[in-house]
Amino acid sequence: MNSKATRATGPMVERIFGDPGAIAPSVEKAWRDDFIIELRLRSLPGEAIGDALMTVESHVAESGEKAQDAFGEAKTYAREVAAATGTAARGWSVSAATVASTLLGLAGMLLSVRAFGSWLDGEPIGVTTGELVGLAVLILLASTLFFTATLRMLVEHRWLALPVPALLVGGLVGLHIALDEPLFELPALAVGVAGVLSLTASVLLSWVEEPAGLDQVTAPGQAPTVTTKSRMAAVLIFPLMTLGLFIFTWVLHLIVT
Amino acid sequence: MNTEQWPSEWLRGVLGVCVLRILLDGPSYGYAITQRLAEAGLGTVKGGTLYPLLGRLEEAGHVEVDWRPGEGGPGRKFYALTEQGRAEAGEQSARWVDFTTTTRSLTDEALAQTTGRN
Repeated sequence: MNSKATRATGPMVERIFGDPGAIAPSVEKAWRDDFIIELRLRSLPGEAIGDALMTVESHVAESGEKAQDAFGEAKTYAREVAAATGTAARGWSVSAATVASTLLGLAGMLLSVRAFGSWLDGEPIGVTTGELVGLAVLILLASTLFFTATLRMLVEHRWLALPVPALLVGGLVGLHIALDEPLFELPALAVGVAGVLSLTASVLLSWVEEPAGLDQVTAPGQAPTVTTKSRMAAVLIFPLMTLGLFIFTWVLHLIVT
Repeated sequence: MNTEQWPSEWLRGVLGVCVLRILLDGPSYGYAITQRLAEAGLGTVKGGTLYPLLGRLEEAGHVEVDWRPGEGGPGRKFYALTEQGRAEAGEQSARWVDFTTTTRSLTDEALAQTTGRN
């Protein structure tokens, strides 16, 4: 008998809001993580993941077996679960609205920050070849994040998390330095307005796209806990990052001048 | 008879009809089904084999699921046959009988030949 089975009764639902550890405390964390990641990569909704996880928990709590022994490799079992629920064939997991909202947010952030910096300097924005190429590369790379293959590669090679962004930043800085011939100039105000409009469009799109919330892993019978606060935070991520960069730019400006 | 010796490919083939048969007795949950299968002499059926099968039965509309609170545990997912599942259980059992009658006549001949030779 597994000791977890003697855990206090009562409405579990109230204690396990979106927390896989609370949904399946008898399942070893490593197995649980692999299982959830694989189901996520196979586009199962949070509710279905919670159900599958709770099924494993129920079985191991009762049989006293380890998840690894009863269900085998987490990834293999996740593939079976996805196949049984008929979602294994879906290629990618992010909707067009999410892609558009993220790209608009990214572009809006970069444009606004650039415009803000120019406005502080009291100069128009001199756009260089390096900047245009860098922007194109960044948007291209960001777009690939929405393909399951890219997500899978990053998840399965987590050590990439360190060198890849470093290489990316290094590459972008290199581009700026190597290709610094100004191509044309843009008024800061116009770019700023474009940036704010882009950010606004991104916020609106992501608000419309995610009315139900953030696709949490929920236990059976449990509604996702989408507080207005958590939803606002998710929707306002780019404006908030932009604000942070404004402050950073402003402080730098104060130091330099 | 040592039940662990059933070849896994045999079990894979027969598991669906056996699970449908068990559910004919009333709604049940995963761990209880594995125990019924073991009692019936089929050996240990792993969760990793059983639950995807139950998932496919659900997807096909043969079973309905319902989470019920457990006794201090995390709750149990009960599987109950639908009308369609009940019909499927009857039909598959009949076909399985035909199938085993066919294979049985072949294996009986094999037994007769090998024992005749010895």
